[in-house]
Amino acid sequence: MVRETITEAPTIEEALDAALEELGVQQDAVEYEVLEGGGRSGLFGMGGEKHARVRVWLKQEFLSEAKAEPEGADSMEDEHEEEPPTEVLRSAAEPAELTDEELDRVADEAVSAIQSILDGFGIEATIEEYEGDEGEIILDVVGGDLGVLIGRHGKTLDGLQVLVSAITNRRLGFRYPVLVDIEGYRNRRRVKLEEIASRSAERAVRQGSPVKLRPMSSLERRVVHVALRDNPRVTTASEGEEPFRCVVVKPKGR
Amino acid sequence: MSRTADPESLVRYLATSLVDEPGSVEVVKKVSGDTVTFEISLHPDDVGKVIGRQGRVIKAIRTVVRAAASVNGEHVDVEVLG
Repeated sequence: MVRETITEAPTIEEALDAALEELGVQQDAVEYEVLEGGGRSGLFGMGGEKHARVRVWLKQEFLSEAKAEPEGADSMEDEHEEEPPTEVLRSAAEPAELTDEELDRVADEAVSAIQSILDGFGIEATIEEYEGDEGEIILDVVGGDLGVLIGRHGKTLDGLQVLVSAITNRRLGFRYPVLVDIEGYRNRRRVKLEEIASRSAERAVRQGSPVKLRPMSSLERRVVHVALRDNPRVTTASEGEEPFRCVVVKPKGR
Repeated sequence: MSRTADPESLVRYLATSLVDEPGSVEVVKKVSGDTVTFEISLHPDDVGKVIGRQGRVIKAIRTVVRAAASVNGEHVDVEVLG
């Protein structure tokens, strides 16, 4: 797990944003220092080179949380409204500390939320329950012909994820990572994104110029960042505004 | 098996499940021409919970409810009355 990162972008805000995305945490979990100026976007009007570089690191009390959070699960953590007290974050951070009964309760609440949403779609399906590599609960909805729950580029699935996490967290009173999937889509998508990432890296290196990928959700962008994190020949950054924000893969040493 | 979705119930379920005062939630279906809009009224303290940070939750509600409506071949919108 990366606990510190250095990111570059035209403005400090964007560099910070990219770092949070890479670390997969919210701003309240980090401290940062500005290594290179940048300007506040808009203040300096048109033109003029703007460049900012920030070093961002996880606060001590958030280290375990980041470790416990499954990769690509940032959106599950995002929708919490109130700033949660550190205590709550800690309990969510260490899934292993939950008793079997508590884990069952988390799964039950999440399954019941998914079931209620499926009812609204008029869909009957089976929800399979797995435990992820980092202790997260994975709930995979299976039953065939469920494309409507995935949507284009997984947009509907992203929406389901936000809602199921928000409802589950609210019912439980604490956060625990629950990942919603439809017919194993996330896994297939991840493999595909990793292929796209490595092909883009090769292309960026070969042509000696940055390769811009299509707009992606923060979850998808994170898969790309993580896939290329250890590639010594390229760096990655997210650019643009939602919903058109996309990853740019740049060859190193230019 | 043909499916029939119930987007209105879905809106009601989502709204009541996200708030502290589910008893204050009202969902009204407004039809204007081809456009169906579900208007959600809430306890004032709950508005932020249904909208979410940077509109994240209401966007998710719209995406999911629209997908459900599409099962019936309908197009719908969801609004929160402030």
